[in-house]
Amino acid sequence: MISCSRATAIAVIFTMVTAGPGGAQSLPSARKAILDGYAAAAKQSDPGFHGFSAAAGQAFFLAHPGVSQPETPSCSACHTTSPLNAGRTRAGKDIAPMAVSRTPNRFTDFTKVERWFTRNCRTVYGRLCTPQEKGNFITFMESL
Amino acid sequence: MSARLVRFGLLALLGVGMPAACSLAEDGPEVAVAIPAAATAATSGEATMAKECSACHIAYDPRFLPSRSWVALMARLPSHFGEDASLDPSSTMAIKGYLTAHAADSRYGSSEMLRGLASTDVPLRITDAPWWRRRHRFLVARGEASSGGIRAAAKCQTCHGANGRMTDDD
Ligand code: HEC
Ligand code: HEC
Ligand code: HEC
Repeated sequence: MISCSRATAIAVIFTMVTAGPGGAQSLPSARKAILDGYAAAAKQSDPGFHGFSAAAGQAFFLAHPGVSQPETPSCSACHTTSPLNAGRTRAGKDIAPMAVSRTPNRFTDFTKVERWFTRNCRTVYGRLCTPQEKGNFITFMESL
Repeated sequence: MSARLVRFGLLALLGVGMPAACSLAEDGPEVAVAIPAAATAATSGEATMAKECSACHIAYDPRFLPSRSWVALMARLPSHFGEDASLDPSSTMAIKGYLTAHAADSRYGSSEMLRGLASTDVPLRITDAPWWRRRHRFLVARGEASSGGIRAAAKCQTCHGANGRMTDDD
């Protein structure tokens, strides 16, 4: 759990690194800034932080934690088991592939990234995800 | 069906296009300066709604539910039909403002969409609203509008065009 003041500090870091004037930042550097922010937050809560792992991100993506409603057992329920594929919401809308190689603007807008981690982690895991989990997830999506 | 389709689309377009045209006609040239400001305010709540409420399903037309229904829906976004659809407070306010100002019981609504609705009824689904169930008896009969979870009938776009409301194109 992130304490209030730490959350504020993280938000400040994010604002500094992601909100470049004019927004002329490239997509990879915007994504890197977001990952760097998660890394800084992960390091604060765990001094032994070793960086992010695509394999752990994949396991997290495919896991069925068993706490959600039956319709949303896993991230892959909507995003499919391969992030290279387009997904589908329960209400029937297409979702562009999560893999960065397929959808280059993935994980480049911090507000959007946080909004969906918040929602989907609560829907599937019944809780908020940690910075470590978020970083692993994005690292997996970048590795494909 | 296609004539219906056109009417459905036109209705949606008129709902947005009319107010500016009406105030122009009523208030004369002096108001010409005020109109863009009002239009911008309306557009921003509408744009926020179109963006944030279209990720999982179509952005439903606000005239399909009374404003008390929109207030109730917007108050419980974290538990929204089995999913978390939570939003930051300022987007929530902007969207709620747009939805309630254009609801079935606003000046953009119609008596048809309120008929059969008791003043204490707060339907959280369009597919539970009396007007909708009257118009879609065939779907109600097929059981496509009664599930507590996903309802086939809530995919308005299957029968009413690419996005039902025809303002959002992703
Ligand atoms: C009920 C369907 C559903 C489930 C389950 C789901 N997602 Fe999503 N997810 C979506 C939708 C819809 C979007 C927004 C559409 C888009 O970005 O194309 C989205 C977007 C995202 C984004 C934003 C991506 C970006 O472009 O910045 C992240 C991050 C994300 N999801 C992570 C997850 C994680 C992690 C899980 C599992 C814990 C998960 N999702 C489970 C439907 C779902
Ligand atoms: C995270 C996904 C998600 C987001 C974001 C979302 N919804 Fe929904 N919504 C759903 C699901 C799932 C249903 C149930 C759909 C069904 O029955 O097929 C639903 C149903 C609805 C219904 C009832 C449909 C019916 O049966 O008549 C309304 C109205 C609605 N949503 C409004 C909104 C509004 C307004 C917003 C934006 C503030 C929004 N939704 C954002 C997932 C979402
Ligand atoms: C399976 C197809 C189907 C679905 C799904 C569907 N409708 Fe309809 N809808 C129809 C048909 C057919 C009519 C004409 C009914 C009649 O004769 O009055 C209609 C009529 C209407 C009308 C009256 C418009 C007019 O021109 O008469 C509105 C408004 C409407 N639907 C809205 C919706 C909304 C909103 C949804 C989703 C919540 C929806 N519909 C889902 C088939 C559908």
